[in-house]
Amino acid sequence: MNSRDDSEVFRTRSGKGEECPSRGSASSLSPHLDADRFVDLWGGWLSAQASAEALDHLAACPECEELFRDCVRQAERLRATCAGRAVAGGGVRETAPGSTAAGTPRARRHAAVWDALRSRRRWSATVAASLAAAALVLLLLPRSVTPPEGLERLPAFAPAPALRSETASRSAILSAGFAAYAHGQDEIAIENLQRVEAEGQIEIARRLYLASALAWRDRCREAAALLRGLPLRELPDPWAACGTWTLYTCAREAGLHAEAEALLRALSGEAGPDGERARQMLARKR
Amino acid sequence: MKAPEILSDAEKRVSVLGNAMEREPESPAWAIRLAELVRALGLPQDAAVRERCTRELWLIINSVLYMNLRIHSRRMPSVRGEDIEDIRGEKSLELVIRAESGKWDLDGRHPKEIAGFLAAVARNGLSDLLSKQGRQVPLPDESAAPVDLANRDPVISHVPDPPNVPAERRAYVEALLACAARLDKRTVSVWFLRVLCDLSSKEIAAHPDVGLKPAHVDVLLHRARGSMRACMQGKGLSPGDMPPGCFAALWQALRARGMPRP
Repeated sequence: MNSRDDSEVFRTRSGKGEECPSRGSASSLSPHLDADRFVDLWGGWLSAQASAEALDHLAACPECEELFRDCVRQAERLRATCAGRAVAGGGVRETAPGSTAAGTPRARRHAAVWDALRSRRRWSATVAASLAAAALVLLLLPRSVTPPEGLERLPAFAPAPALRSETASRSAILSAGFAAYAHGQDEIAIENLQRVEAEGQIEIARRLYLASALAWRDRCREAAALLRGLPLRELPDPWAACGTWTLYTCAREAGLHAEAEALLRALSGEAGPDGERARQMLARKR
Repeated sequence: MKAPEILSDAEKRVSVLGNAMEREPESPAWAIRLAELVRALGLPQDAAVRERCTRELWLIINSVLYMNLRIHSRRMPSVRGEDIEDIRGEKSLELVIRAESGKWDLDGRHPKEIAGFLAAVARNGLSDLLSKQGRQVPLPDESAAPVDLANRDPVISHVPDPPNVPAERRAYVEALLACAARLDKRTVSVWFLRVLCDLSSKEIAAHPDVGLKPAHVDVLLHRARGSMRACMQGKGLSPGDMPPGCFAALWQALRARGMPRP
């Protein structure tokens, strides 16, 4: 079945080149409609008089009529995208089985953006639910893991959300990981931060926070291995000192005394609370 | 007054029309609705209400960005349709995320400010694209003439319609509507979405006014085509005779009858 028959059959005469660029009439003396007027007309937000004037103009102006047709077309396509991917009970539900709108390249593009948005919100909901559940478990059960003595938490970190649709889902997962870490939910943080990888500075931050979360769950060897691969000295403060302190703690817990000692000496030359702690630690040893 | 997020469609329209009467004549009404939705998203809501608000917000932002991008890019042959889709997708996603996270505060903003902001977002998106392409061309300075898209290309060449065209247009639209009235509402929606909006069968199937399988859509379309052709021929008209300027009138009339609505 040729699905495009109707478009051909119902093409207007102007589409066949019989009309001039402007269908002039008294009403077409008005200026072209602007973007706001198109959207207001589409949304049914114009007064009756303004709506009639706009429709008069559209009847007389092929350029504006084509733009308005585009406006309606894209809006209906978006509605199909949203509806085809509506969420019911937290999962993706399609309007009818097999009727997802994401068939054409353009529809797939819309769907990708909408999915990124949905995915982010699903993750937010999941993280919120997970945080609540974890809090409940922590209240009911004794803490089974003892973090290394002297371990400090890293400052809260919240990267800007990614703009591109293909990275938005990944960005949402990372954000959920950083948020979980900031709330002290280290298991959730580990799960999210291990799930995806990033690039550049965000990737360094991901590894740093993952290592810290691992250390807080007393997985010191894994944490130390991660931290050793990071250019800790090149990081801005307080992350450089915090990261080095975390590595020192992990090395000490893992029985790597020589490495721990070297890190402690290096830290003692730094300013800030981590340097101060290192100096106190060395003084106590003496 | 009820919170905007729990208004029914009818109430919403009355509310917005009321606002529209209060606002300055040239202020865009969509911007008022956008501010209401952003405010609603900042309040504690149940998931279904948030979903509806987000969906409407996404539709409005997308439509505004799209129209601005289309109008701005008219004289930019290097900008492809895919570029417009990409810019729109990125920017709308960013804005909706900001609204959902409560970082986009529109309280106290004038509708024209909001409209100007979204126009600037679209313009900057195009500007970034052209910079990447190495084909930067200066865009109109909006600070000098904010959101003056209406003057993009004044209609100066008027070739009057033949005197009978408006009447012919009206008669044609009335005939089409009379023929459409013989079909059920869903079939008319399917016909409208294909014939006038060029949506694919899959897209039509997923549309909220339709909700069918694609194969079923094809069947309905086939029947609708046959029925409309026969009906129009019975009135002495042929589909190929559609006069220019019918789309908006037809869209308006179908919408007034409760068929595809925004």
